[in-house]
Amino acid sequence: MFNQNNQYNLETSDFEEAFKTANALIDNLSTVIFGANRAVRAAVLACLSGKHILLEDTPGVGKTVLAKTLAASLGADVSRIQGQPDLLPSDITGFNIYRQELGQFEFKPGPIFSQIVLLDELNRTPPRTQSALLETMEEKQVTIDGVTYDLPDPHLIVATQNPISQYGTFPLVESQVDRFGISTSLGYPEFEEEVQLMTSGSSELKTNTIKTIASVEKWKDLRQITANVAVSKKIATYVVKIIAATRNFEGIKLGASPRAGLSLIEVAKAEAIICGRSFVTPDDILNCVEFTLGHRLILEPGTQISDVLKTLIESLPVPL
Amino acid sequence: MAIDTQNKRSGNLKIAKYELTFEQKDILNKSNFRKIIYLIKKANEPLPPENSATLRVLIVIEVILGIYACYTVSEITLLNLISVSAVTIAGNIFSALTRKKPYSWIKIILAVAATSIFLNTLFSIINAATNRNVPSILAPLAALFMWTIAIHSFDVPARRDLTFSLSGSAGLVAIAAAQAIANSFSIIVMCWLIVGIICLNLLWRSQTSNKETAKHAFVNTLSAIIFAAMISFVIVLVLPPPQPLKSITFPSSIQNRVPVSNPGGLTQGGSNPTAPAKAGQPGGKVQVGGYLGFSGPLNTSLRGALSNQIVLRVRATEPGYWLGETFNTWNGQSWTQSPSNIERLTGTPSFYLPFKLLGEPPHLLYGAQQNTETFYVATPLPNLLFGTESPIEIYFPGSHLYLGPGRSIRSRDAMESGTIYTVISRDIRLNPTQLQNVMPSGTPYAFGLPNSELKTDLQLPKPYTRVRLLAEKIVKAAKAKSTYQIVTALESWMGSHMHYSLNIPPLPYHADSVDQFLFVTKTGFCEQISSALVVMLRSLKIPAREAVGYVAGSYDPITNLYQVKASDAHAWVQVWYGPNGGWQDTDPTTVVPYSTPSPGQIILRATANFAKNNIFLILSILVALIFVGTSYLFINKLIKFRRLSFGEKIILKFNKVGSKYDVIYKPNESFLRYMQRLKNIEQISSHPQLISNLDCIGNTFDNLEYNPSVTNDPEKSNFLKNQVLDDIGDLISSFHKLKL
Repeated sequence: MFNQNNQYNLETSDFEEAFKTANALIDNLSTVIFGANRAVRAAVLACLSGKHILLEDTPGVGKTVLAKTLAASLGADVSRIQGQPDLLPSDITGFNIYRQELGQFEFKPGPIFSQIVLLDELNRTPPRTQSALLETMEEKQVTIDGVTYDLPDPHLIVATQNPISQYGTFPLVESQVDRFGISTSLGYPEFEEEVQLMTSGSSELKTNTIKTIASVEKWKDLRQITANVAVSKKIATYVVKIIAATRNFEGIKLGASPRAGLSLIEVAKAEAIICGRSFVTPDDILNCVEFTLGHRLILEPGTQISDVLKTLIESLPVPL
Repeated sequence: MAIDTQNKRSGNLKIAKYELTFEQKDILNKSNFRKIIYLIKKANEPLPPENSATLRVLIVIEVILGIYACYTVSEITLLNLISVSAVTIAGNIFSALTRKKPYSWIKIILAVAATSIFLNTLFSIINAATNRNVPSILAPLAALFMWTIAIHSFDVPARRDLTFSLSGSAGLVAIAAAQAIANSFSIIVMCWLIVGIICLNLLWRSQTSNKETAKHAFVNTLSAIIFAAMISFVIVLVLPPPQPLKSITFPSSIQNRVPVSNPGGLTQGGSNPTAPAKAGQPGGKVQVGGYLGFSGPLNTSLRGALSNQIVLRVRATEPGYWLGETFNTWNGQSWTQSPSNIERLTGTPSFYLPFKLLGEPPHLLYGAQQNTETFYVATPLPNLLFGTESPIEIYFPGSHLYLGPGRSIRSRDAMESGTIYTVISRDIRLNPTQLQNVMPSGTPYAFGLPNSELKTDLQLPKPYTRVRLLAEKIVKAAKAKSTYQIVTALESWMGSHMHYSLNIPPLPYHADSVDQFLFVTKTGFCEQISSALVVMLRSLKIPAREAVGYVAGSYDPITNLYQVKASDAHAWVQVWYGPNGGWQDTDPTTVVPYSTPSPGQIILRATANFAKNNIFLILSILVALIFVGTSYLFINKLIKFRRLSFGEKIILKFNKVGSKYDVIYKPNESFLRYMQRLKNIEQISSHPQLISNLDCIGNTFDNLEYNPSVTNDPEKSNFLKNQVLDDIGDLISSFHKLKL
């Protein structure tokens, strides 16, 4: 059921289509990923809103599988970059090589030019390589030797990072973190779900047999429809209040940027689509706050992001 | 909120305070009225709080010293002293505690208190003024001032407010000093001065946070005091010492001395001092002060169009009719005065009038009541001096006056506006019992007056048989014996048979005015009514005459003056009550009712009467209305009262249901989450119909609140609002059915 007053909305069919596709995507991912509903939802939100996603987790909980399944469901090409301390920017973006037979340089695109890019263990790459990603993530383009190359249109980076306490990690720079629209963690599955995981067979097999829900073209449409979700002034005010509150709140060292606010609204629009609405409600905002703000806020030592966000949200009245 | 925070981050606190919010910009675009309100609010923006406890304590001491000073000169009672002091102390403690964050509502409470104190004072002053209790006017004023300062102390967060308290205490000491007689009062003043100097010094200190300048504060205060002392010393040296009054004189002055052309004669109003006074033509316009009666003849069929402009202001020991002159000769249409010598009076500054000239029995005048009236001429008038019946002394700024026929006192100079003169008169005023006794029989006998003079007061141009028969019939019917009874009987007959009106048909040529009035028109104004009474009395051989002048006018309690308008010009009757009664006024017009008033007139008159009798009530209601109106506006501005939005009303409805199960809406949760909690209630979750109803309502609610395509379209939102209300109605009825 689509919560839209049918009598009055002319684009109902578009929104309803998007609602169905989004939920089909969630179902599809859930057949492969067990016990990580939040991560699945975050991945779909990222797809719909066009924001990059950052997964923070220990190895072996299914981050790669998530990225691959997503790509397979959307019929998009996927590439993978493994973060290493000696990874160079050109390993990501590509480089010019001299073709002797042609007598000229030819651009060899890097793995970033795929529609879905899995950036594994991002925080093991040195800051120099991380900063190479800044342009690609915000401008959706790559500049090499003064020539600018556009990235493919639906372009989604699924980055993972190991917990900061592990060996051989570089902390991600704030500007880098700010460019991820969504972050979440998969976490270990529940006992029952893990048993199901063990019995369901090889993940590779499942990824290969996953059915394609939508084409790349349809994915583009989905993002267009998501962008058209309505945001009332009340909601915008609410978001600004939340963002402003983070800048002066106990336990938060560095508050959220206006980009974080924009990002929150974009992701909330995707949430509205998933919930079957053509407009954003406070529930959407509340559901997306942790996804969009969780990784951006720099906390005082000894505080938990979920606790801080919970008290912050509870201190603000929902607009009526 | 966002704007504030950003300003805070950039360290621009001051700009944040004065920068207009979107709402304020909106107001500035809207209307001048709101603009004014905004500017007032901005001007009243709170100043930084005053933190010096010493200063606060000293200022409380100053105020209480002021109050005590008032107490020592018995301006206030001991009870007042204690209560006002207690309120002041409590108020100062309160405002010291709340100085950093003063409550805005306190201003409203203080406004209410101040208004009620003011109203109380106003009414007690008006009361005292109406009773002519002059000393009791001052006491409420002192109390008003004191209470105002006392309640003001509840709202003194800043230094500026404290200076108001300090200057208020100076006012209190000044009030007390004006009344003080004892030398011991100077001790209080000394104490007040010393504490005041310390206060000034502290104020100066706290104003300059800079330590360097604070050091000079004492020097600055001291030099300011020395400067003020020197200035006052010089003023005392320069000003001549006050001279005590050598003799009592009453107010009298004249601004432009324009002598009239015919000394001793009557002239027209001041602007035309040379034209001799004469009665005008029918329908002719007259000057503001130019009542046609203030001339040689009085044509009774003319009154002229008299305006409501104030012609005279009178300060008098007692209100009365301000007599201009009398007439004794009647010719059927108009009154004239029998010729007599014009006496020239001399004397400066006051003129004494010999008793024998006044026409009253002199022995009566010796024991008569003495009244003093000061007349302030407001518009040019004929050169006629007014006064109650028998003036014995006149203060007039001129070398001489003339006493003409009909007791008319004429000035040598034209009566311009601004002329002031005082008349001291002796008035033989008898009460009804005395009047009854002085002339037990209606038969006149001349005693103490020259016969010839009384003869003129019985003069009639023709027999007037019809009138005499009528008068005799009336007297007989009333069984009247004494003069007083006869006068009363005739008056009451006129009251029941005649009508008062300013619009009467013109008098036919050669017709007799009195005859026409009594038997034909039966309607007339004061000149005809009074003439008719004179003629009737004369036909019964009772001496009577026509008098003209002004009625007392309306009393103004603030200035203590009677305001006499041009339309207050009047004609009445003087009756001879024998040597023991003299000439007594009687006014038949007062008993004659208005001719057939229209319903509109009745309503108007009743309303005017009601307003006159309940003036305090109406005033109070008006003041209260204005006060409530303005305070509503300000409360709206200050507290920003807001009507409940539609969503809030819906939530309140659900709260009623939810409160039974302790599921109350929290402002920080969304409506859908609240719905979820409602659905989780055990009794509700077992009914799938209710659950789907709740879902439906939740969805429509979200559309109504957050869907711009709905909120921007009144038609859509009204449709959905009705739908939600219907759904809620259904839901609540099903709750009742299920006994939830």
